[in-house]
Amino acid sequence: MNVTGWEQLLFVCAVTAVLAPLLGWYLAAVFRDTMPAVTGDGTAGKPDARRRAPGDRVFLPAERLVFRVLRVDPESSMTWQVYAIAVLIFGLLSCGLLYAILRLQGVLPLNPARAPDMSPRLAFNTAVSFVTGTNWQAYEGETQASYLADMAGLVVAQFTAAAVGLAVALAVVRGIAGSSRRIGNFWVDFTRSLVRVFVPLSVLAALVLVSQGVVQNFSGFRTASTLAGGTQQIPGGPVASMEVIKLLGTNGGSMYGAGGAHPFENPSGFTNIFDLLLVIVLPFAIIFMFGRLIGRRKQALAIVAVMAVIFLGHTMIAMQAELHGNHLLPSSVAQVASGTNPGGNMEGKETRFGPSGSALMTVGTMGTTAGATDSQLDSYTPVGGTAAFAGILLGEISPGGDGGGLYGILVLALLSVFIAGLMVGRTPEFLGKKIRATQMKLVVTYVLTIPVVVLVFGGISLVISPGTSSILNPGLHGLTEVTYAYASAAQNNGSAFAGLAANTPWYDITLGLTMLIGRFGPIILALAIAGSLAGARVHARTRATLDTAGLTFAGFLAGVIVIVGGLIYFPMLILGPIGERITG
Amino acid sequence: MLRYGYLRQATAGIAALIVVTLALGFGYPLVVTGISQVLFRHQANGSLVYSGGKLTGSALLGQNFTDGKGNLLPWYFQPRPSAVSYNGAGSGASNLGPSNQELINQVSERVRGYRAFNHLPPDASVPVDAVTASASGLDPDISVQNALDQAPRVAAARHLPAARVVALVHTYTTGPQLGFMSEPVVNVLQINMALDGLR
Repeated sequence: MNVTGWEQLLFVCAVTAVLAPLLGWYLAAVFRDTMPAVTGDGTAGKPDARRRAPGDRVFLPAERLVFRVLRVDPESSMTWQVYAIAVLIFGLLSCGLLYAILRLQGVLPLNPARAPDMSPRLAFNTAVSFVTGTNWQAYEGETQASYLADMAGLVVAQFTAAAVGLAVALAVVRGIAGSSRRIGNFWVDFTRSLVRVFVPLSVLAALVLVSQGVVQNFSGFRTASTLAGGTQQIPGGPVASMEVIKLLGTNGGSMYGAGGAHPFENPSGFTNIFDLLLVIVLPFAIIFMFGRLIGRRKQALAIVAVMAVIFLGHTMIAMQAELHGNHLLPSSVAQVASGTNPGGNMEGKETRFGPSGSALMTVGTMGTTAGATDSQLDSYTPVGGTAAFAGILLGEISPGGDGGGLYGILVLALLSVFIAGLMVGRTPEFLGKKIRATQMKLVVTYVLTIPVVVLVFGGISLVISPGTSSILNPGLHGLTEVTYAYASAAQNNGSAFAGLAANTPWYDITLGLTMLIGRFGPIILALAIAGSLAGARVHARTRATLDTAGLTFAGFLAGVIVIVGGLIYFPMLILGPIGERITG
Repeated sequence: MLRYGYLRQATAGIAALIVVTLALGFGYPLVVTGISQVLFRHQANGSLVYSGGKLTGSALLGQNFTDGKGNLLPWYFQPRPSAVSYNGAGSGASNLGPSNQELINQVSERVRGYRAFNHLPPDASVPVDAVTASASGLDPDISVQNALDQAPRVAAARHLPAARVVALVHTYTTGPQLGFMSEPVVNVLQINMALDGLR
């Protein structure tokens, strides 16, 4: 890494370290009154009926209005089954509406670029992709989606996917830590997340982006007469409003094909860093919120430390690899960075970001479910590509998606206490509750769901021609294009080794199914785990209790994450990018 | 089945979907557009650049500096290779993998072309951004080294002293933003417009 890279990375870390705890405090204030009592050695008893949260004067009337329209009693609380059904029904309805918009966009208004109706399979793939928060884009942004589809379809799904993620995380926390058999009201969590978090932050951040050059208009394509006497199409669109929730909601889906590399989405080094912060601050803040809600802030710190170490690991490896460049290029190509030359592996990267800024943004967001790239992963060096892949394969917990990062790492923490419990011969406990066979069966199913989908679909795609004929790059790199697609879809990341021609019947349908399983499988299982622990007796901490808030446990948890991810995926990585590096 | 209240969740879901589609699908982008068009009109419309009242392009998008047949014009600074030929109707990269022979051949070919076009010695090293395609295909910038390597050729084609064009490169070098957030770059459209304005 060079000086620029270090400065950018340290700046991102410093700002996150300041903002995430503050935002976590705010989130805790917003959701505190929905937490059931946490007993044991956490805070005792139910907190004051309604502690005031900042902005109540504005937000409370808006919330009440929504509850009235939805005919929801905000004081009522759901069992885990009802909560899961609410999530699933809302997901199904959202998919249906988005599918209809995409199928009909050609005849609907607000379509200056004359995008045609999407085919049934492409509309299925795209609807599922945005409702699950994956934002895998098999269509061409500029020409195959209307402004109406972007605004009223895709952006709405980006907001709701983020709110659903945060809601599920809150429910899981209530189940795992709380002393009630009920785990909250989905509609309350969903509404508050939008009204008090995602919408106000999005409006503010969108204006910051527009001030820096991100476009926000409805003018369609304009034709310019270039300086050399040719013509150029200049795209338009309500880009900033989509860009913000793409990032803040850890979604990743862009208005333009090139995504965060497009100068109209990410015009400068400042917006590049700002974009990265929009992605990672909120997932970290959600962990701090968790610590406050359960009255154990040290527990949150331990989890944040694990996430931060993994984040720094894959990000720094990629920054170094991309700065080092591609050794297969002719030696006459100056790849050594200097004051006048960004150097590094610049194929598929923008000059203003250079190799460091590109790898920081692209691989830095891989451990979230955003996958909001500012450079093209297919052209990354094998080591840089592996680092990006690792962010996804380790389970999207560095720091993870909005909400998904929290419930994801809580499940892995349960697995870790279980393994640790076996080692020392004690009944494992987490947050004072005993972890038994019921929970472990669910945890193991959770951990295996995504690898099974990835390896089965990925494996099949590599031996049948509908799978292999879409590959662009020859050799082991082509294998990575395919396995990456399924891993990205299953973990709801949405980034791609984009050489793969993904808009084919085989990929549209199997990737669509992969996204559905990868989203709703883990959500149902996490809610089931929470439900099985909800209302369980909370044991007081004794000298024999494993401390899950200390450095030892944090290290153990990080080890479990790396070993589990490694054991499952290492053969796939050997055949893909590692093999490419060794043989190249 | 009924004890989970499917119907109640479904009606709440339909109502929620209507509310969010109206509020977030229409209200939110319209509010952002309205404020943007008042406060940041130039940026919100694409940082458009005009010359003589005619739309020339965007300061944020690269464009081709070629004649009708696609030959590079020597009196202009040339942008990076583009996978979409700087047509803003699309955007994207080559997606060629680092070990793909096609990429290596392309880069070798571009190295030869760059040296010949800029009258550089046959063993001159070439800045990496000059021979690799960008991520968006619309990269507006080139590295400072790339601009300096092109400056003598531009000067010769315009019958200007080389030192004058080199000075222009330094004038049009922007960044690093806030000292570290971006790489120092030269915006190709802006420096070429400045060149045209010299006479």
